[in-house]
Amino acid sequence: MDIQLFLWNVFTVSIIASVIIGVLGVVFKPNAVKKIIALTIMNDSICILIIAVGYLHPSKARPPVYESPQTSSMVFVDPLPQALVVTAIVIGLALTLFLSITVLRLYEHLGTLNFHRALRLEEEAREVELEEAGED
Amino acid sequence: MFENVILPLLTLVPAGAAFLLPLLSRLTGSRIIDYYFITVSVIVFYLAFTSVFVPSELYYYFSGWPPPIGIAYALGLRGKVLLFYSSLVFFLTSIYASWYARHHENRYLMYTMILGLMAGFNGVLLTNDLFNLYVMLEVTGISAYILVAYYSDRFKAVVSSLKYSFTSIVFLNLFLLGVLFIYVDTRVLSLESLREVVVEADFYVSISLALFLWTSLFLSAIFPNHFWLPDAHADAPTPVSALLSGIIVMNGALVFLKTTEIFNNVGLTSIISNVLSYLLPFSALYAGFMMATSNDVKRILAYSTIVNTSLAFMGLSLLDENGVSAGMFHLVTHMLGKALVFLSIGVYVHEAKTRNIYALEGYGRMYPLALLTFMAGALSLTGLPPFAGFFSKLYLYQALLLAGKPFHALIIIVISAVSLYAYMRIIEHLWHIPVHEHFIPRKSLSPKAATVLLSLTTLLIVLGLIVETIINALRSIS
Repeated sequence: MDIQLFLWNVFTVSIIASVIIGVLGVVFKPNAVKKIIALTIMNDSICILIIAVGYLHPSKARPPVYESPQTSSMVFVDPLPQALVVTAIVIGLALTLFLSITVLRLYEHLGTLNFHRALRLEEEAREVELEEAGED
Repeated sequence: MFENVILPLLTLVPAGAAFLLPLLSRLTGSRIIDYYFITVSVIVFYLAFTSVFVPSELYYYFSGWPPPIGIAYALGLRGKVLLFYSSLVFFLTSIYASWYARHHENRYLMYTMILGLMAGFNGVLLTNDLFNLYVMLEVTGISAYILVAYYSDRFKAVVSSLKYSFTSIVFLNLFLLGVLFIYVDTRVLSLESLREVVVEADFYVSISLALFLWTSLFLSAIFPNHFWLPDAHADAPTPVSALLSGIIVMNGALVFLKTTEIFNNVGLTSIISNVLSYLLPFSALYAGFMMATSNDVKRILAYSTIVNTSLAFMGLSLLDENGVSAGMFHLVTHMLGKALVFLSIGVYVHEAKTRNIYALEGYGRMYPLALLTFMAGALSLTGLPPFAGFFSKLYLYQALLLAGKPFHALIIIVISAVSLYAYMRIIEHLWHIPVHEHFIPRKSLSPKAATVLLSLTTLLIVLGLIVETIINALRSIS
């Protein structure tokens, strides 16, 4: 196998693996801050993957500037994914900010960062409320 | 005159106004932001109104680049119907919200984020570009998470918002991954061009189809992706619940329609129909039974949203003319009916400071008008004439029978009976006088809230009268 192709495959597989690790982290880690970190891992891995697909020909990566009419468009880097990634990073920033502030609120209320415990407490509070009001 | 720029203005006006609002609330008095907020929603409604009366389809290419290079906004007949009714509901709800939140210190936050929802939803509706669709979904999402956590002094609202945001962010990231996969394969992001370019069902195309489908089911809260909806929609302030349950769940249907069109040429659409035809009856029945057993009024209405989106998806998943138009029409009538029931029940929740069905007993006698409008909305959602909900269920029923799915048609009837029981339970408890209270004073409802509730009721009846026109508009392929 071509060494370049081999390295490309290793790269893709490891990025997809970190996306999966991100999803698993969000689902299974009870700590809310770790959940945020897992989300960031997932988002950043996808961003790296987007940039990587911009390289049509990894060996001929050049900025998209036509120096002469004979230049083939295949030697250039596709500029669109880079524009997309800038947007995705900004969105990721907004989400991380929102999540951090809300998790801080959660800590102020419950004194814990354990999100799974918070879910249980919420369920219990709902049941208690219903029992108190349900008279018949 | 300014027909060329209506489409970008529909997203830019609410988004720009949302950025200015917090600044304005710092600089000026509190009354001014109420008027400012209502004025912006009037402007957006006016723009939507003008766009409906432009005879041709509307297009706008950002920076003048036509697809496949640039981002295009397009508005066909189907889009015009959705845009008109959604901006009308946004407008009416914003009047209601200015009444509902009049004593809230931080109501500028609610106004800002409702404008964000408006910008995001209009963007999702208009855009013809996959990446722009992702961005607009994120805009809607962030506004919705913040609105759910609006009562941040209650830990339940914070937990609901976190539950909603954690899962939603994962799903939207998966959507982005789907966009990436289809871009690797085709090097195109414009939906129009993708329809022609995608001709072979290879690995990348199949993966992105699965990711798009999953995201759209999550956004419309179809079982088993529904777990976030009852908490989020119940813990949000009531005007926001009306918007989230009525309008924002349509995002899922829009994503579904926009993305499945890409795969028309590769023969994968029949697989979608098959998968959904097994999933949707479960979804509708599960939500229906949860609706009948819940004791929290806003949770009952939130489960009813899952029921109705499942029914609408039964129509949409047929992917033929009748099914899609019936499904979209059902979403429109559901939007009006759901906004009406949420806003009516909000009057009582606001007064009693509880959502418990037993604690609300007797409050119906305090504001009989809101109870009447609640009944109108509930009857429309159940599907009884003369309200518009009857016609949308009738068209769904016809479409399902024509497509040879009598079992699904039967499910619609069963679910209607179950939801009638659930709504009647709320009405009965609201009217019933509790034993320990002898006298419940009758109060007059604020003119703002009364106007909104009565206009929504009128709309439901009028929509029932012009049903043919709307269905024909929805049948046209935009």
